[in-house]
Amino acid sequence: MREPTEAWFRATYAEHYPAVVRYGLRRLGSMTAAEELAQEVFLTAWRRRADVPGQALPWLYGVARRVLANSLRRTEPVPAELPEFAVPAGGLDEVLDVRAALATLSEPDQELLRLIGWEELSVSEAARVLGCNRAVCAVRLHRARKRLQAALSPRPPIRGERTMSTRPLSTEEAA
Amino acid sequence: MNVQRVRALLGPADPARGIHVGVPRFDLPAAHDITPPFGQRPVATTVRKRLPWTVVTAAAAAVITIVAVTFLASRGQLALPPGTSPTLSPSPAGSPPIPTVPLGPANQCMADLARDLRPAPHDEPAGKYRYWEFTHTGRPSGPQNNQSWWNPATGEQANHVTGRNTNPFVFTAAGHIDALLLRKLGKPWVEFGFIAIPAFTDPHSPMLSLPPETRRAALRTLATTPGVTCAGQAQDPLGRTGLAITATIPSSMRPGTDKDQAPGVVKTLILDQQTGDILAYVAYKPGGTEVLTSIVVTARGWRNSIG
Repeated sequence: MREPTEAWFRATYAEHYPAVVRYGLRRLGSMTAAEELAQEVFLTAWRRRADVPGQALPWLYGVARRVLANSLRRTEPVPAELPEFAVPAGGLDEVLDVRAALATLSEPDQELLRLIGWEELSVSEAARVLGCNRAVCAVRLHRARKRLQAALSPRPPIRGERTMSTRPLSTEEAA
Repeated sequence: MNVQRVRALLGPADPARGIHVGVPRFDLPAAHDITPPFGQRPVATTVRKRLPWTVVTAAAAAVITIVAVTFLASRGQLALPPGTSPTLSPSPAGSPPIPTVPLGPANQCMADLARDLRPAPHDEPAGKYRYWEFTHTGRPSGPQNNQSWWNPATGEQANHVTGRNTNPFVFTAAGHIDALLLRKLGKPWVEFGFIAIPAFTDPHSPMLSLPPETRRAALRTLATTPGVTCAGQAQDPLGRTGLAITATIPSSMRPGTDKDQAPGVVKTLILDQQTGDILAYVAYKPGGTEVLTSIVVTARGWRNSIG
């Protein structure tokens, strides 16, 4: 079993600090808040260094998740603006659509999808963060993905519903 | 495969995509413990030049304050003599001080209660876990009945919400309830009463069942927090009479996402006048006409098991 030495901590910190900051950035929308979160996470990691498993990152995400949950009286206003980022090939609209669709899902669905899609964890690692077993997590992921895709799909027109493109203008409107 | 599909779908919308995060220095020798000798600093300072120095200073100040005040609390040095203006901030050189206000008629009641605070029945350990119950109203999902356990020896904590959702976890290191409290209050952003008051009633932490020395330190802190004032006696939602202290969200603040984060909302703590225990936290609509959210503590004690 590895000894939780200072060298180990320094290596863990250097390896995972950026990932933990990005975790915070994705959920807090503010670099300052994300860095503060990362500081709390690594302070906890140092205090509880004997508990940190060999694969530290999911454990660190789990701590970050609890730190966020425990401070979710959300007395600090959360900035609405996200930092600038490179617009992908699909364009800004697609990005905004995906984010809007994600926001319509329940918080557990969102968190699982973020862990897989953004933190790029495996299902087993995400299960460790969320405190559930792998099989349950896999089922939840399948359902969450379906719900996300449903939220992204354009609503099929209701039978008999006329859209702007097909409905002829009335004489008043045409005038 | 779900994983690949999810990544393909969400990847382009990643808010952290393409953002470079540097690794700041971590002054580890000073972070060997949450309570190092006073004067040592567990500072995490960044080497990225584009980060504003104020951010670094503020973060360092928060950590330094936590450590220093925790050290003071553990040695009982926060129990200042009556009439002395207590402060949570030792204000190390170069760090911005946490604002405090002097004691006066508007806030003297808290200092008085801290001075005269009497032991509560739950102060004497009588089991493995500190145990408390409270009702939380004003949530979108409706009122919640909560039961919580906290083991002061190990930091292990568990919560039941309306008879379900047992989530055992280690909340804080053993014996660091003072650190927990003061970490909340040591943040530079806790400079306004309307933030400090709800910080005392965080329903997911042991804040609702504090040992007497921490209650005393907390009261002294509240007394000198800008915007927190005494409001005389008041009844909590269960009809219990206590000492009310209030803070109002100023009109200059932007409304938050929750309805109790709007300008004019009055945040009130109702405290037991003998023991200083929190009876209830209530957020009132502007004008005090309607309860927006409340946390009412209904029981405190000790248990030997969770559940």
